[in-house]
Amino acid sequence: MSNNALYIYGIIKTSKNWKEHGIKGNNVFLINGRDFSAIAHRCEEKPYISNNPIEVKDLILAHNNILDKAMKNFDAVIPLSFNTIIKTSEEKTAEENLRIWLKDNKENLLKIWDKIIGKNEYGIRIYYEKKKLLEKIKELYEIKQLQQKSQIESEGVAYLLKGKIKDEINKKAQEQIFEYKQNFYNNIKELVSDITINRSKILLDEEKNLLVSISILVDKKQIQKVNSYLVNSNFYFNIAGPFAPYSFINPQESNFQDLQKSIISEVSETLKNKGFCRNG
Amino acid sequence: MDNVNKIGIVELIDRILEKGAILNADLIITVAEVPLLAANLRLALANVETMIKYGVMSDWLEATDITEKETKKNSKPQPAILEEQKQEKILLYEKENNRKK
Repeated sequence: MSNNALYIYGIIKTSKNWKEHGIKGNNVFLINGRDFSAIAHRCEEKPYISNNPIEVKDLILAHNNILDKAMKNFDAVIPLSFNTIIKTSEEKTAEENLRIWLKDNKENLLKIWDKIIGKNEYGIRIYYEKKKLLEKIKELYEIKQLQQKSQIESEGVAYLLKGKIKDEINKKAQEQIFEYKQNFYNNIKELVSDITINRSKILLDEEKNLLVSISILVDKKQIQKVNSYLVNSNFYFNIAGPFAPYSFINPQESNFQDLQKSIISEVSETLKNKGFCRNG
Repeated sequence: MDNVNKIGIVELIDRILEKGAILNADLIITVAEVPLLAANLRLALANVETMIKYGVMSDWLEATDITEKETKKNSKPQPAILEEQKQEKILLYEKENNRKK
């Protein structure tokens, strides 16, 4: 098979030339449109695939490495998903197809570019300590009252009260987790350009008390402030990045608007998934 | 791989495989194999037993099915191919699970 397709890593706003080595050492170059250029290498019309996890990891890291370098050189990059390969059509080469796409999507690309220039994406995971939270709740006046009452009542009433205490602890835990999320959101939104909630399908063992996982789009100069806030916030957290702005490439949406709603719906989901009260 | 690096890689995979700008479907080659690709790497990164314990594997398979449906809608691949891919995934999952045991 001949290399008549184009693997596209991302889009940048430049008309300069740029060369790098990408996936499997392929020569990466720019295909210039009028305002935007695509970062590409020539390839066959088939996706990169392997059954070897190490090879797969190398492929993904190679894709990301090109985007990292582009971000450093051009101050921003519009990232494309892994294995985005432009094919030839009956009448046009892959290169011609790409140039037409760049031209047709100029307006959208400009909106995205204005939004992401000079900014990076980071992933933040916030955790809560279940044991400490439950201890705190058990110290609340209402819970203590119920516990004291259950000790002096008859066996039947005490049994019913035990169920009520459980329900009450669950309710307070929900309220507390909601408050944690609200506090976190209210503080972090002041420091960033945009936020989106992550719904990763990957759950690591260490993360059983994950409170929220978000992506932030933040000005490069502001990241220190975000870090300082997290360090001083008493939250357990993990921050990963910088990444190309994968989660913020839709210029039509303001992710802030939906975030509040997501936080509320996620509280009950978190509790349901963690079996909060029963295990506590 | 320590936990911090593991989380960093997980965050990266989530983005590269599931996010990013999308080109018109008629311009790009079909990438029905991408979910399989993700499966390989995810199995390598996360503890399989933990994933099963928390029901992540079933969620993930469900999510993969959705991706396949979308791909099918866009590219109209043969149903037999999708079935074959699903079987491959199940075999891969069982193999990894047996290896862990």
